[in-house]
Amino acid sequence: MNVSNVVMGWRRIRKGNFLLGSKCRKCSKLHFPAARLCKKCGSRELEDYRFKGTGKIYAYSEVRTASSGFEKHVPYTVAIIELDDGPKMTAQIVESGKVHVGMKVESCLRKYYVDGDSGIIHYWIKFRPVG
Amino acid sequence: MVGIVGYGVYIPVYRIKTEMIANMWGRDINSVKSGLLIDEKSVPSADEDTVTMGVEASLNALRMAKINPEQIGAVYSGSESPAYAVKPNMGIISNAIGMSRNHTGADVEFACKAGTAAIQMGMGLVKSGMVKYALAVGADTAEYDVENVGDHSTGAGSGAYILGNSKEEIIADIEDTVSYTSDVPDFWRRPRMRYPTHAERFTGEPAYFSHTIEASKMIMKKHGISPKDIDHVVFHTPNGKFAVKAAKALGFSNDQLKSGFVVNKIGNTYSAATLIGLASVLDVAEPGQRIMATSFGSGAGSDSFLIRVTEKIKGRVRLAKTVKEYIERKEYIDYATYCKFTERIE
Repeated sequence: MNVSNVVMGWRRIRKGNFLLGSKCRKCSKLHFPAARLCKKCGSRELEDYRFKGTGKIYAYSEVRTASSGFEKHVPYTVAIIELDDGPKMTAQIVESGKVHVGMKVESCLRKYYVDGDSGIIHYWIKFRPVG
Repeated sequence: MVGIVGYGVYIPVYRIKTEMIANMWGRDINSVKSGLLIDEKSVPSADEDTVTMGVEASLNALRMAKINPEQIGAVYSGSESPAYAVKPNMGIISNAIGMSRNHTGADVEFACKAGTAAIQMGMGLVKSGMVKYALAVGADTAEYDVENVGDHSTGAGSGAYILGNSKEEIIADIEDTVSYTSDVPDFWRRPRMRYPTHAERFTGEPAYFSHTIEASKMIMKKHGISPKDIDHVVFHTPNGKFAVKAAKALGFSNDQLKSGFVVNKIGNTYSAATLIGLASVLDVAEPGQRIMATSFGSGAGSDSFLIRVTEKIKGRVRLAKTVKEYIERKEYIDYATYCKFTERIE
């Protein structure tokens, strides 16, 4: 078990379990992940913003040689998702053998990484085709 | 008054056909199929467990209930395959669906009836006024050892019910619930054992049939009704044959059973089975119709519910994916992929 995984996982729960980013109170720009400084107007006045969890595929790549811990998912697709709210994020695509640019997707919570037999189970947002 | 203000289910997209498993282990396909009445079963992908499925069903229930999750005051999550042995599914689920931290709850275990036990616990808190809404979840990724014939029936799925006490919101009124419990060694799993064991001679008569039939009789007798007063009936489905036999023994027709009979397409989803069967009925039920749902959990016990559908159900069912839509949304996998997804390959 890797203890640092426990700490990192706990810090990421809000962000990863329900797509919590931030919104600038001055210019309304949305950020994911949450920012402390608005990328558009430089304001430090930001508030939590929960993204809707829908979007479309902007770019993707198929993984056939996985890192340790991800072997059971091979082959799998990692994509840049353009969220309907605006920002882009990177996530795994599930339940789809055929991915294409522009494909509409929705978020779902899945196991992301399991830390051995005794460590923490990390959950994270992934995306699947809408419908 | 206490009733259902929203419900939701989730069934993984992957399926394995009964033939695939029977061929692998050299069994006669026809005798397996006729013995179980299961054509195919649902399989979780490698990144799904009872937490992720519980979240999916709960989000669907929230879509139907149209309530703010921060108003839910209690979550009970029933499963015999929780993500952790110690660390509750319910806390991960309540966080992921956006509930506030001001809520109580616990994980519940009673073999295949933990989901209905969770509903009963939520009913108590709602009826007493301790909470405005309660969320009850039943989810399982059931499994037997691969060479065990029981592995033909073990499916994966989840159901979630949001309970409330406002007449303006209740889509199905839970008129009553009764339970019948005794100590029967029909099926068990000791600590540190991965797979369960069952005592074949106890599984049927002294366990499933005795408890299912007695609980059903108790609730009908209490309300002075008989099968002719009930429009739809749901029984726990360890396989298809048991539910058909229980229905016949109690005097229900196949017509009364068919709307909630989904085991042939997804297998036995354990703690979720009665919840998904009931959801399948609610998906098609008309206002005013009466439903009897009786669960069964090995060990052993049954919870029976008498439910009346209200006018408020109109327009609600389409707010979330139906059981039929989940059943039809499927992708078949081969036996090797099945073993990979369910971690039978180390």
